[in-house]
Amino acid sequence: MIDAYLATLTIDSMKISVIGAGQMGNGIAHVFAQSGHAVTLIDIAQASLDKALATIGKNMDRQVAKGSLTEEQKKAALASIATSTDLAAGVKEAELVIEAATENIDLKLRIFKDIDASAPASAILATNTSSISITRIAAVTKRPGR
Amino acid sequence: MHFMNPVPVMKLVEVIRGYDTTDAVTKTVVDLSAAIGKVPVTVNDYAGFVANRILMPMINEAVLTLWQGVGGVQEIDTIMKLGMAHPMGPLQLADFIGLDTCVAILRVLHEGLGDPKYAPCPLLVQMVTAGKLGVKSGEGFYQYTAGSKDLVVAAAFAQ
Repeated sequence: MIDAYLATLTIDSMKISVIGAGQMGNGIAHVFAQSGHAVTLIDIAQASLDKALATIGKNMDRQVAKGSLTEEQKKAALASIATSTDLAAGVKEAELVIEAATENIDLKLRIFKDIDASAPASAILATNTSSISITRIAAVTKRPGR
Repeated sequence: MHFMNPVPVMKLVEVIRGYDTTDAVTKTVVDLSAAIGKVPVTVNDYAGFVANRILMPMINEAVLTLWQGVGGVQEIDTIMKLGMAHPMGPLQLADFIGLDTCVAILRVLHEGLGDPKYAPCPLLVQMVTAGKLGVKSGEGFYQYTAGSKDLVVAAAFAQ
């Protein structure tokens, strides 16, 4: 199927919003930032965001020590992560949104309704759920195809 | 996009196609996953997908094996580590994932696939009720002490 919008995306530098700054959320933000993407990490608690940034910094320090990342790359990656406690504002320019909140179906359905209302209609919505039905989550959005 | 923990280290991204997901969206997600240095594998959307559909029944069976007294914590994990070349035994892995997360996933499998074989072992449910969640709570099948990397079987299962 041809999707004109997706064909215009540069998969090396996308605007990615990650929802939930827990263990999975900070790891996902880490790998995207390290690969040159602009990441917005979103959580309801500022304290969780601060903790996540500290964790990402620490994990990158470990990569620098091992030689798999340079100090400059670390600085650039950290600089490309913005944070927000406002979901609507945090996803409004996203090309891809990855939800990594707690594994609770009701919470996820609520979050997806909110993302769907605020993210661009062209954005792809993804979840990091380890088992909850993607089809069920997609069904609460107006864009089940993406 | 199902990433594995710890995300910066684990190579796999399990890409799950929902009932309505378009091929173009799947392709973008696959390409993007590869571009960040991961190995994407695409599967269809049924409870647990592939990773947890297979992993969780193994963990649950390990807990049932312990519950029925077939073997102790150390015996079960050692057999799976040395016998199957798993880097971690299933009970240690359950502690690492979080026992509450294991129960939650088993309930999704049980409800979503309708087969009683996925029902979480009563011992696993009991441990979660008692607040023994594994590494994050300090105790599960093993005892975790800050600063120590020694694997010590929890007092409840010590022989």
